[in-house]
Amino acid sequence: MGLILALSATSSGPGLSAQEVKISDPTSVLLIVNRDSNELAFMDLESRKLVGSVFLGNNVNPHMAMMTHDARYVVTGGSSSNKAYVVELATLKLVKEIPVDLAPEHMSISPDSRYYYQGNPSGDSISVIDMVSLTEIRRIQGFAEPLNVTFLPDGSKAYVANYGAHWVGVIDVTRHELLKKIHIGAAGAISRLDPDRYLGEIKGVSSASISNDGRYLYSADGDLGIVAVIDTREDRVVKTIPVGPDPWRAFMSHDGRYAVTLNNGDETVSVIDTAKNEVVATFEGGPDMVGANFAAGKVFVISSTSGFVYAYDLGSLRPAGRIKIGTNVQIETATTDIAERHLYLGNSTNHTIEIIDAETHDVESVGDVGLYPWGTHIMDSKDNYCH
Amino acid sequence: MTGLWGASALRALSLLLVAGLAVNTAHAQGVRERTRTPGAGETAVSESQAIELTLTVIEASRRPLQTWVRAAGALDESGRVLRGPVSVREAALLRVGQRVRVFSPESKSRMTQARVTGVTTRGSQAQVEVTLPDRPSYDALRYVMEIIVERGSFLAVSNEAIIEEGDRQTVYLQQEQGRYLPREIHTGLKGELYTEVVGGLAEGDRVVTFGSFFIDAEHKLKMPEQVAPDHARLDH
Repeated sequence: MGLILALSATSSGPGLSAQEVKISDPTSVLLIVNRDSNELAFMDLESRKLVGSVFLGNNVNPHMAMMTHDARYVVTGGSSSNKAYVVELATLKLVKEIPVDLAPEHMSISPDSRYYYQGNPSGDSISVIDMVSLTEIRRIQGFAEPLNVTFLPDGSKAYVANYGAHWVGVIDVTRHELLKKIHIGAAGAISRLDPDRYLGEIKGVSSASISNDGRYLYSADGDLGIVAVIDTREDRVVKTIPVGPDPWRAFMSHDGRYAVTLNNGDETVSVIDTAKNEVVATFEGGPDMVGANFAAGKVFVISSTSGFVYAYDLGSLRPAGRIKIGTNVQIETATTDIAERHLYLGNSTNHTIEIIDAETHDVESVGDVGLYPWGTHIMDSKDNYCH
Repeated sequence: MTGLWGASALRALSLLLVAGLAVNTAHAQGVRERTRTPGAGETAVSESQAIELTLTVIEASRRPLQTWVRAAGALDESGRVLRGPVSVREAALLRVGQRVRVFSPESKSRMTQARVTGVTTRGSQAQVEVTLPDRPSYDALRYVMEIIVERGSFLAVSNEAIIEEGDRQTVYLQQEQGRYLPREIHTGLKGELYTEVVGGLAEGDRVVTFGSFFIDAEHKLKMPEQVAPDHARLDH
């Protein structure tokens, strides 16, 4: 990369004129990632009207987007353009395009908003972007289809889930170097039974989901059908918990009591009690489950291709009904508002955002938000994730 | 066929020669970089060192400064309102409506957004009141409140660019690729990421951020005679 000379974009912030400011309160908007119209759109949470959008360029296909914790910027990776994009949140101006590695998808922002770690699954690398100079200051190699990145609350380490392998990478955030690989299970024995399945296309670790105290990570492995519990002080696996086949990440309940896995192999949902680190309930789910959100004492599981969202009561650990979003629709991922009353779900078939009332299960559809809404984000929501 | 092959081979050979020349030139430039004497007071950093250090340079420019006031608060009986002491100096920065990030000390990976709903000052004591949208989903006796105060737009550089030594503050300016010169600056407000510069820098000056500490050490090591007390005199 050579010497990094960053002629960083000048942010304006509070000195802006009223005309320039499009979003004065970052917590008041829903950020929508429109994959096929190559834009980020912003919807006012109260009026449910679009307040602005940022076109990123042709054939960008943004995948996931996040607001930085200091609310200066929104960042996203263009999975077809191999670039990261930085948008000034107040003015919705695209201030920087940063070339990264192949097919950037998921990302995370360090707690101090200083670093933006962009995962490049096709490049098997993580791009470290300095949010002051707005440049890629390091490209950490040696991963295998890195998907989600999780920072410790103190920002000292970041954990990278490798979907093309069965380990979680530990990054020293001071030096931006891969410190350790935490192997969460052995694929050797299982791959001998069915090499086509287990060696043809590896379904490894999609995320390292953090406990409320930052002490443990819960990492589901698709091929192994387990959740590994990782102690972040020692960076080692302290327990593996069998769940259903082909689990897609562990989603943490907001009170930290449960970790929920979506087992696409047998269309079930496992609920792990994090105090005991045991499965305490298994529910029937739906096909192609891609996300889980927590609100009103329930977990809502999104079944992408069925058009249904399944609800389960976490108090009684019983099913609480299913919500029909539509027929012949594909639904994507959702975020939950801060009050934990509503879910905002992308409907990529109808180009709508479906607002689900977590208490009543009523659904309100907001149309024309852009093409193929793939993901949503609310600042500091506890359910900001992507698929 | 042979002629065609011959032409292709010639073309390939030419390409190789050109590539070889380019490599030699690049190498020679690297040698010249290393052997050229730095200007007076300058510190030279090779490209490989710069990569190793993640040496990063930004332009000094106007940037929004934020101060994050941190306080501890306890929930009242409603379960939605937090109150906690702040210093009078901090209280002066607080306004109703400011954004607050609330978390329990054990649970920093789960933030709750809240707002400042009151600030009271009595003599040398002050208190801030913060209201959450709902009861927190986790129980704690005390919560940390990070109150985000927007201070305005200022000529600023990032905090790590500034080397503090006693009362003096120095930054390193890039003169050209690989050459750096110290400059004493005067600072104003210090924010979470940026510090206001009130003297010693102009907009557009290229300032080293990551790696400034190394350049400072290199500067002091290699030019001790120039690192006399007035080595980085303010020239504004």
